[in-house]
Amino acid sequence: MIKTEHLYKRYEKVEAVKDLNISVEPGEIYGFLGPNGAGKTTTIMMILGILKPTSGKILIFNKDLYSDYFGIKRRIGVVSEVQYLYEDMTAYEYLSFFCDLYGVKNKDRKIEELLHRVNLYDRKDDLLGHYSRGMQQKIGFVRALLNDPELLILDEPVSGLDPTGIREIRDLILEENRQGRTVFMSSHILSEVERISHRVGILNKGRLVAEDNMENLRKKLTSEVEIELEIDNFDAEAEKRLETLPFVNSLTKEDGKYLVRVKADKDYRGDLVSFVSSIGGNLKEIRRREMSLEDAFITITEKNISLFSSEEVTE
Amino acid sequence: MSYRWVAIKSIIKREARSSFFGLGLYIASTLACFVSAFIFNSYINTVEGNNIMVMASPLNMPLFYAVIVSALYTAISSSTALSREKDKGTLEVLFYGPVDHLSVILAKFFEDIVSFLIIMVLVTLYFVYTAIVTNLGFSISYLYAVILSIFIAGSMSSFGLWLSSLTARIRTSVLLLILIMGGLLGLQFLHNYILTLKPENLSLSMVYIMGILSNVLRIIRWASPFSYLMNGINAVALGSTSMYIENMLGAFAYTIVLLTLSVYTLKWKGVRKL
Repeated sequence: MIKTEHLYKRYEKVEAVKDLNISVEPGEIYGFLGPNGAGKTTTIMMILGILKPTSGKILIFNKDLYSDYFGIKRRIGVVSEVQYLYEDMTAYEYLSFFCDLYGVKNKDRKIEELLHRVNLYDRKDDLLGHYSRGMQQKIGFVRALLNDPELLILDEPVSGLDPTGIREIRDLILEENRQGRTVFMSSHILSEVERISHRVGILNKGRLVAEDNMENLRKKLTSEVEIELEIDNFDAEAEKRLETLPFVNSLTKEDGKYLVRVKADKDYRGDLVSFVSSIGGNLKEIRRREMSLEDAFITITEKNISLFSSEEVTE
Repeated sequence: MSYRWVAIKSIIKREARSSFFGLGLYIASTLACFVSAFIFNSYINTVEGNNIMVMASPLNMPLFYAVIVSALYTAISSSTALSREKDKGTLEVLFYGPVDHLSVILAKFFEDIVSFLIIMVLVTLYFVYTAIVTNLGFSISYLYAVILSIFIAGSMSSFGLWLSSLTARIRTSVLLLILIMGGLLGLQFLHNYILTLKPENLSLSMVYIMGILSNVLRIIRWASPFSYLMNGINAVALGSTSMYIENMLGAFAYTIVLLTLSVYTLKWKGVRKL
């Protein structure tokens, strides 16, 4: 659906995107993650032809955008972080204008159906300038869906929304994906990307440092595992002995619970249970902490590592 | 119909709707009629004072002033057309869809012409009413003047669009337009002033300045849309067919060049909200 080859963008002295190679497959939700200023929006703007790459190639539907500019644009729907609507128009007039632009047939039926889906049909004759931020975001989504796009490009679609708004937009994205639309979504809200993405690409300082599904990302990033223990009858001497076990890397105490970092080569929970009972401790709870996307994201971006080379990226 | 024309048509429709429900169009029309009314009034005073007024095309002069007002409105409106959308971010959103630089520029240009034509229709209705009331007659030169005014409006619009493509803020566009208009008019006045001086009174340095000004004005004659406006008025007033055609073709060529320049400038400056 989208393929970039050695994409590079330079703004005077700043390298915004460096040698970017991503591939978004049909039918998937691709989460494009990165901290603010990582180059996500610049990449999207290049994909849409709004910014010109300094070098490199972009293919959409296996074609260069400029080989069939209007044809390709008619197959894409785009939602940005801020909607920038014509505030002097009503929702119906605005959507009707975009229907004309995309050459949508039966536009009244289409607008009605989509406005019903986002619960804004009753407000269709209100001026967009009177809409709340969440309602404007929904109108942006409706606009993006008017042409039944095969590919949805979403740039920070839930940024600035309240929890209800986030859930509504999330459901909308998932529903569209179930109907077969490919979704390319940039965000810095990690929990959202983790919940809905099939694959994730992490961009840091303009460079793609990881691209995989969540499970593989966790595996690649985890050289150690955290195990949480809640133990009674566990004195300082016992703590010292636990810390010196050969498979334990470190031991910390958080809110009365022990956090043991062990090697990730095997599951050491059985060994820990045996050890605690051998010294007379009363084990109340043992839990393995999964690495979240947030942990992976922070590890990758803060340490500036690349999962492609398994080394730190040198600037 | 090609996808580009679908985009152009849709944008024209939206813009026309916006103009139709906005105040600008009606303020410009009212001003154009108001300025013309002053001239009609002076005609009536002349007839009252002298009992006679001999004039081949009495409606032309009021029409010229109406065209000046309308053309200025076109220039101001087009000079903010792109910068206003860039400023609000709506231009960027248009480019998410099947819209390119050429389609935006052409749509804005044609919408300006549509607005200008609406003003001309309103002005003509006023002129018809005035002609009936005052018994001033229409002549064929009125039609010539109206046709030429469309080409002049085209040059004004393309000039404004080019200024607009250069800037990303409404205020900057308007300031730029005022500065350029002021500069061009200033040069014209300076040149006219120097021409009134007696040659024997001119110093060597003044002769030198006059030479430079003449050359600058020769260039401006082709580069400024306001000279097409003034030359067009002269062509109709003098009844010179060759001047009329030359001016029409010049304005047309100027429009094409400026529209092309606007497309490339917009590509260079970008469409994103800053």
